[in-house]
Amino acid sequence: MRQSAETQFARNAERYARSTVFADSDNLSMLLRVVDPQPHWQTLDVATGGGHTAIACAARTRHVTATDIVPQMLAAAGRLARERGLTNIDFALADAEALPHPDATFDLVTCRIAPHHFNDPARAVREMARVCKPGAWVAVIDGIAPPDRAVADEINRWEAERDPSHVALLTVNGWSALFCAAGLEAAHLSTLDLRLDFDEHMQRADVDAQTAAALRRRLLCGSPAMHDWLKVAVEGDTITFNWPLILIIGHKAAQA
Amino acid sequence: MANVSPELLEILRCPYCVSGATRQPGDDPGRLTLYRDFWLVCQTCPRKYPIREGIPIMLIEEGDKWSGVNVEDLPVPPPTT
Repeated sequence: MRQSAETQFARNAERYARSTVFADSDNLSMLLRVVDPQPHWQTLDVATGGGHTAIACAARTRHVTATDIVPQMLAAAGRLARERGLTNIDFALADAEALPHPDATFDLVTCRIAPHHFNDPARAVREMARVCKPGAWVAVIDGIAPPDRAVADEINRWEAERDPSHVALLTVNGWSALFCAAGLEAAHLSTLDLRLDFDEHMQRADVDAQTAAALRRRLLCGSPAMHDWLKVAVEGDTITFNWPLILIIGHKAAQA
Repeated sequence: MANVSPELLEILRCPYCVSGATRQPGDDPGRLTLYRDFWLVCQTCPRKYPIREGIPIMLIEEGDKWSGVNVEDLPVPPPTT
């Protein structure tokens, strides 16, 4: 699956970096509002993708390390950072499940709209907790699955056909459990709706016309429960749907 | 010149030695030494990580690739793939 992510994002790096969905969105604003990054903080953005979270944090904190497993994504994120005139952001090619940093290094660890690509999100969260300083924060935003397993499977299969690097969405309870198991006390948990345009969603992943047509049919003719979860709406030729997100922020206990 | 910031170099470690089931003993395993501006050489294990276009390649499989190469034989600059 990691190979899929490398292929998928290498092809579409610039498209993801320039995507308005991933740039200055409500969910990123909410993360920043809740965490309130401080100027002296050392920040890590895991699986940075287009670099939007890293760039937003670099404008507020002393130094940001942005990691990803796709070199083309780091290059695109680097170009964006340079365009913004930021000099306090560095990049490293790294696996979210084996972070190349010492324990207790960062005041803030972020990971936004990426864990559904991870083979082992539990391991990635453990790694984020490991490199986080005692008393500091881990903040994750990602799509979430509905509690009904059959509906979750239907949505995961649909998304995996659009983007072969998609592994799985976790439920809200699944996320809480991962944070708890990693020793992170949930300090904030909320869900948000990300409204997506079907055609743009296909274009971002460079889906061919035949696959897009099949996915369109499956979205329109999906189970009522899937429709209900995604709040599919049709207006003329335009299809939009919700992609529910979780914002979960964990606090690593200070050492006794 | 590889041009990696001192701030980043200070907080990089060998991912094999510092993470997960392969973590090595000690408080701060996997410390790295910068070699000729283009390589990060693990002080704990034989892995070596190239710096390409200013970006450290901190993947365990990349470190594995160079673990059998003597430090003085590492190509400078590192090959692109």
